[in-house]
Amino acid sequence: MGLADKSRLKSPWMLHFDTGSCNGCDIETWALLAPKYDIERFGMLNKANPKHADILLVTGPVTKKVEDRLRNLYEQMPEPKLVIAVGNCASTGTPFQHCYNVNGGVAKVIPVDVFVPGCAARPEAIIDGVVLGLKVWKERAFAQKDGKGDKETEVRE
Amino acid sequence: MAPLVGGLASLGFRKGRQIAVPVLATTLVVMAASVLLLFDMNSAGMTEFEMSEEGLGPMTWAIMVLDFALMAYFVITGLRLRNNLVIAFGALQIVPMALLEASVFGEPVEPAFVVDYLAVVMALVISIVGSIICIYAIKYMEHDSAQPRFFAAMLIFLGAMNGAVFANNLLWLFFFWEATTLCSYLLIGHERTAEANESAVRALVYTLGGGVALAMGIVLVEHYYGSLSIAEVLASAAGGGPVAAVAFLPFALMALAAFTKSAQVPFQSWLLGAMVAPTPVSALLHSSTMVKLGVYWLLRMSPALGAMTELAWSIALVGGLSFLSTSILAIAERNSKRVLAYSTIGNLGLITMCVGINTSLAISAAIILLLFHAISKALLFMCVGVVKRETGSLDIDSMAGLRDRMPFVSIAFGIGVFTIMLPPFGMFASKWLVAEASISLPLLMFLLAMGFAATIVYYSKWLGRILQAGTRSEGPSPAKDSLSRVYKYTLGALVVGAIGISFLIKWVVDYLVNPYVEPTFGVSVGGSSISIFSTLGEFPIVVFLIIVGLMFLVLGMLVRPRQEELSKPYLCGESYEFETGGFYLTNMFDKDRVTTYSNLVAVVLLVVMISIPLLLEVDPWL
Amino acid sequence: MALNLSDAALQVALFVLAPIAIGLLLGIDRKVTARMQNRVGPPIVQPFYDLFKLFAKRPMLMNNGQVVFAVACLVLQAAAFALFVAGGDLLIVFFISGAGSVALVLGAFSARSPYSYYGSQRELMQVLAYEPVLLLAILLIGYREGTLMVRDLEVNLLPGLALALIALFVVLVIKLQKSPYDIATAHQEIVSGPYVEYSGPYLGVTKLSHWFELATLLGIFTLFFWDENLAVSIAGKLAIVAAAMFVAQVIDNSTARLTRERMVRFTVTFGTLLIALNVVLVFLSKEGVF
Repeated sequence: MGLADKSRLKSPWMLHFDTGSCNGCDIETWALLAPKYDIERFGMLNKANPKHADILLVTGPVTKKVEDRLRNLYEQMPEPKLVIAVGNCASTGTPFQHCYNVNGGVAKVIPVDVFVPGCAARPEAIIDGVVLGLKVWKERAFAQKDGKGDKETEVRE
Repeated sequence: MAPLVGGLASLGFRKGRQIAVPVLATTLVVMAASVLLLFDMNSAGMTEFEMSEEGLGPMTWAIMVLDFALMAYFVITGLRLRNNLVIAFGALQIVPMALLEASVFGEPVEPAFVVDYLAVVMALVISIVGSIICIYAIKYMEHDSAQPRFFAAMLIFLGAMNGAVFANNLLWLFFFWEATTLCSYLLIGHERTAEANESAVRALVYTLGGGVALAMGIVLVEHYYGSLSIAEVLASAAGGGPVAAVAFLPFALMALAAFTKSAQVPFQSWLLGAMVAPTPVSALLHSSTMVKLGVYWLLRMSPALGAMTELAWSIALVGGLSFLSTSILAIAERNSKRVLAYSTIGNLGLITMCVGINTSLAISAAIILLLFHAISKALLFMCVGVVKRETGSLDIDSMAGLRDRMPFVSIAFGIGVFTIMLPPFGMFASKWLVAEASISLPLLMFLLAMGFAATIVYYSKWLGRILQAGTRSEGPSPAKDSLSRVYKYTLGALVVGAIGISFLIKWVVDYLVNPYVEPTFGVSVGGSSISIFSTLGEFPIVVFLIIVGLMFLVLGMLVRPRQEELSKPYLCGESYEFETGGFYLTNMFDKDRVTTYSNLVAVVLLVVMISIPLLLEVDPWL
Repeated sequence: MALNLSDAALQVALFVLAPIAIGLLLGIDRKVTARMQNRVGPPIVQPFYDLFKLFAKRPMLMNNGQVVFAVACLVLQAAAFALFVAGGDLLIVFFISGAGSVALVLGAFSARSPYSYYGSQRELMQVLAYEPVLLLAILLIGYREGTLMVRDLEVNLLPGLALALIALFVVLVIKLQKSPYDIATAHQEIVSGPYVEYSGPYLGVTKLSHWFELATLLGIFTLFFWDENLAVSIAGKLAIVAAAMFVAQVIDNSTARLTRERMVRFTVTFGTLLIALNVVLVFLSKEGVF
């Protein structure tokens, strides 16, 4: 595993975007930054800028209005990137799945790599999700140098 | 001699539409003559070149007559404008001058013209940069209705400047000084709008006031030293010459005159108002040449100031204060020409300050600064002029994204800004020398520090505005640039000049600066093939020039983003058009208050500067 | 002034090692900050992981002006540091480093984005705040020693210039982008300021140039101590750097961000005042008062 890949695993910067959630998953995500869970020890930083970020952490059921913006941010992230859908809403849209203003999950808008279910998803689960995402990256690095795969995996809660 | 003839020959101009030919002819003659002069002096190994008055007999008469005619014209103008100050100043000049002429008439002043390297530097600047600006003006003013008037004034002005820097007779200097005032008045008011007229009158008032001070100073010089030859007077004041005496007052008065001419604080408002003039006027008079006349005079006086420490201190403080206050005020300014005007005053303040410090390092720094500033500032003014012609606006904010619309001008402007404030170019080298010189008088360090930072802020801000461009996948294609050839050549010439002369700085130092500085102060700045040395440090300028030059050229050519790499700006996911406002720090300081305070301090300084010598005069009689 | 081989080799070694040392220093900085906040914190070599990761990303940019100026910034900062290591003129080092900052600002201006635009305006405000103080400190060194060449500054500056050193601490806080003066890269306000539109390798370039900038500044800090004995000299220099960083971290962790006007006002008054006092002291000592 080359230096580049190792560095990628050791320094994943995330961009956290809320697409209309109740903020429950958001609060759990921000809790990760606090001393109790402290994701900075993995080298993760919460960068608000898609151009600096590697991982896009999406919460919320993706309302129709926010769809374009989500795509905009996704396109502004440079390769290689990872998308993690956090929470039930982001995964499938439940419990708002059939509402008139909701798309129903992030996967309907952009390709997702990891789903983290839960309502709200627990911080440990989110960390598990990120670790799984990094593993996906590692495997992808062995398989091919670049490109966007659509491998989807789930995390057991 | 030749430059003077060329300049004077332009006196007889009253032309019609086909103006380009006579202007071009004159400018080429002047340019060639000044370069020849330099090589002549250099090859003959002279430090001075004198010309006696006998060969120019009728000139004394002519100058005296013209001088009084000029002063009468000022009085008449004052009467016409019903401006009491102009009348008063004009009259105040006539009286002492008449008395003086009456007493010394018939005694020739030997030598009549002294050409030393300081004069050569000034002559080169006037002739070459001035000529380029005149050529630029041909295109710029092509739609103007009063071209003959304009170009006559411009060319007379070139002649007057050349005369002023070569003159050794104080009376002749006075005449040429006032002639430049006249040209300035005519040119500022060229457009004959209400605003132009008002600014012209204000300029006239201030510079005439300076002329009064100069006249009184000259009278006093004659009284003390019994001579009107600049060379003799300076030698006497420095302690060697026919009359070994130190007289503060005349020099203080003449310094005051220099301050008005160079628009130092508190006299800066005339220069700011003068920005309503057409851009070539601003470029020529009010940044590269005429205002340099004031600091030239200060530099000329500098050997004598060594013995007058209080006066030197006042001069240094006024200069430093000008630099500090104008640099800060420039941040808050939206009109591009006014920003450049503030910058000019600031740089002149630096030169003034160096004269006040009066060490070898400082004077060398001042001359280098003078030379480089003229070139870069002329370039910047000309770019602004082209922008005004093409877009019709002088506002900095309207220049946003100019890189896309007018690539050639943007690059020229960028190079102008780079050469004026950034290492490794020549102007920066002079600023470095100034900073090192200021170490001798630590108080001045403080005035410098804030000013330097402020300079960087306002120029970067402006250049940044111009560079703001959207997503592009390749560099600008010159085919789209429909700029007139005249503009391209003149701007291009100055660009090449600015960069080239930075490379050649070693030769500048060795051949132009040191020969002047050496006799009086001793040498402190030297050069090797790659760096400039000063007593305190060294600057490997050529190394850096090569690094920076290569870097920009290589990068400019190599970096071509491919289509799939382009991205949109980050707008939190939105995509809409936006406009950004300017950044003028209005909540940090109030422009008017800063102006008022600095004017106040400056007035106090000047009062002290004049009154102390005055009291010293009166004292022996008490 | 012949440059013999071992001298040159030493300078090259210093030039290459310094950014690595700065990277480690920044890593230690994050670790100490984390500990102060009762967290574990990233490993010390984290900044290197960050840097390599950035260089490994696929490039993405808005226009070529951005990149040209970012690389210009890197070249200028590296050149300034190289000149410093080679013992050149301290004032030139300062100005070239300043030119590097200007290049970064111009690069940020080149991209048509509001965050980038306001970020660079704020960066200019930072320049307005710290440059006068830094310039004055350097001129003060020149005033006291009569020379500005680094290779001639082999004297213990600390006793005479302690006040200037304290003024420089404030400059360090600003340059390290720490509270209360992390104005240009204020995370919640302006998203990353001038670095907003940079990504991947170009962001890596700007980070590296920031490391060189810090190397130059901390290099100036190391000038304040010198001893005949090489080991003592190095220990003293490291001690000054460590002390400065620690003070910066304490200040960072105990303050919130202040406004940019306050930054300029505070730095200019406080810094200038300290240096003015120092000038008076040096002047008096030159006159023989003590």
